Amino acid sequence: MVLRELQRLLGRIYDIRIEHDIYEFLVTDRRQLTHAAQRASRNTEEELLVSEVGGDVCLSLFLDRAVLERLQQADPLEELNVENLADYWTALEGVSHFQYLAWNAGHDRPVAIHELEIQAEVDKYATALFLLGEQRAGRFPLRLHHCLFERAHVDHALAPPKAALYASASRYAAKFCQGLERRFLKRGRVRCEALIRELRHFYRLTHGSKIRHIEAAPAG
Amino acid sequence: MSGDGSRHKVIAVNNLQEFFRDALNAAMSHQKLSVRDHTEHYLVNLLTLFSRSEALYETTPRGPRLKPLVVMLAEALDAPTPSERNRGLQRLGDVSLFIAGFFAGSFARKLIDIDYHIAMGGRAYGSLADSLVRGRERSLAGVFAELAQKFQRLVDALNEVSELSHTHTARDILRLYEIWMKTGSRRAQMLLRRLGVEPTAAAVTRFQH
Repeated sequence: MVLRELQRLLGRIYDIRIEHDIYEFLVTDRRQLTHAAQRASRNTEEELLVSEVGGDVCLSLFLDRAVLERLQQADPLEELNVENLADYWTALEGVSHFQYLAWNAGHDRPVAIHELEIQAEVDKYATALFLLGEQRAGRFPLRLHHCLFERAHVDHALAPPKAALYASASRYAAKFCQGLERRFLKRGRVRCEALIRELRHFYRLTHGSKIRHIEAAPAG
Repeated sequence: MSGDGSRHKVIAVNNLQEFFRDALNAAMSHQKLSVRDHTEHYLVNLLTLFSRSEALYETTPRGPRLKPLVVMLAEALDAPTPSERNRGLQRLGDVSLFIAGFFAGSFARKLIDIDYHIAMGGRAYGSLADSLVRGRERSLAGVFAELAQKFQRLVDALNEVSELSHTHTARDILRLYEIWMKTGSRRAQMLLRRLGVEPTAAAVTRFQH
């Protein structure tokens, strides 16, 4: 249930409609995966598995059952807090990957892993920003950027090329989200409508355009 | 209802609208805030409407819930017609104001520097006022413009309304009132009387704008 609500939340923020229900693609038991997929997901609680068969894209989202069970007990849409934030971000990352890939596939657009990871980090930031803002007595979570991008680190167990890819995606997403804060969340001049429009614009950019968009933004 | 000494005094009210009108006037007077008659009427109707949980919450498979405000804003932005957009903005403004006034503690709010509800609700009312200013509903534009302009101070006034009783918040009163309305519970009626509200059968109200 909670994944469907996260799917709806992302769909609403970005104004995208995905016909597929995420639960039809969900695997929560690692043993149900192929051996190759089991190896790929052995150290993670979330993994989007993609294969191409005869020109069709086949998707499965692996999400550890324990994560889902914990989120059912502590619904982040009711209250997002320090206890469920890590699980929320794990689940949201899976939903984000699924949505982004499905949306691009529906528009016959290729997706690079780097781009998928950038978008997932932006999605994690944006949804947490809105949920925390609403739930914390109207307070915008000004430490969110620090918590998501500066305190988090890439898993040291990852192979160097993969670690470098995640680190790069996180850096780009961090710069983009910092720009959002600077442009739309200024003290006393918060512009949620413009923020949503910018998020929607960014979502629709291709990988190369996303990178150029971020690099063109002023630093700091 | 105004302090410890009068907590058990019963003040008969014909309906919830009257209760909210009195409470709101007292709070605004205390806050040295004045609004136009139309705006006051709108606020009283809003409080009365949202005292019924089915008006505030939406029915979902997981029970009554509020949509996240960002979803309301996104829906308003994507509305296929201007009138649906306006309805969405109005709902966003109304819910933001009510939530900020009744659910966010005033102490916590005083510590904040950026207010999410003002950003959402105040701007929604502002956009609504702008879009109505030249249409058939331009008489309402002034109401929404005033709600947008005085959003923060109105939240303060609503906080005071919700803090009328030290032991029972206005939210508790609303919940009791709702139980009494739905079930006729004698216990709910008794508790309401103890809190100074005399429930009457004529308390159902209509809300339109």
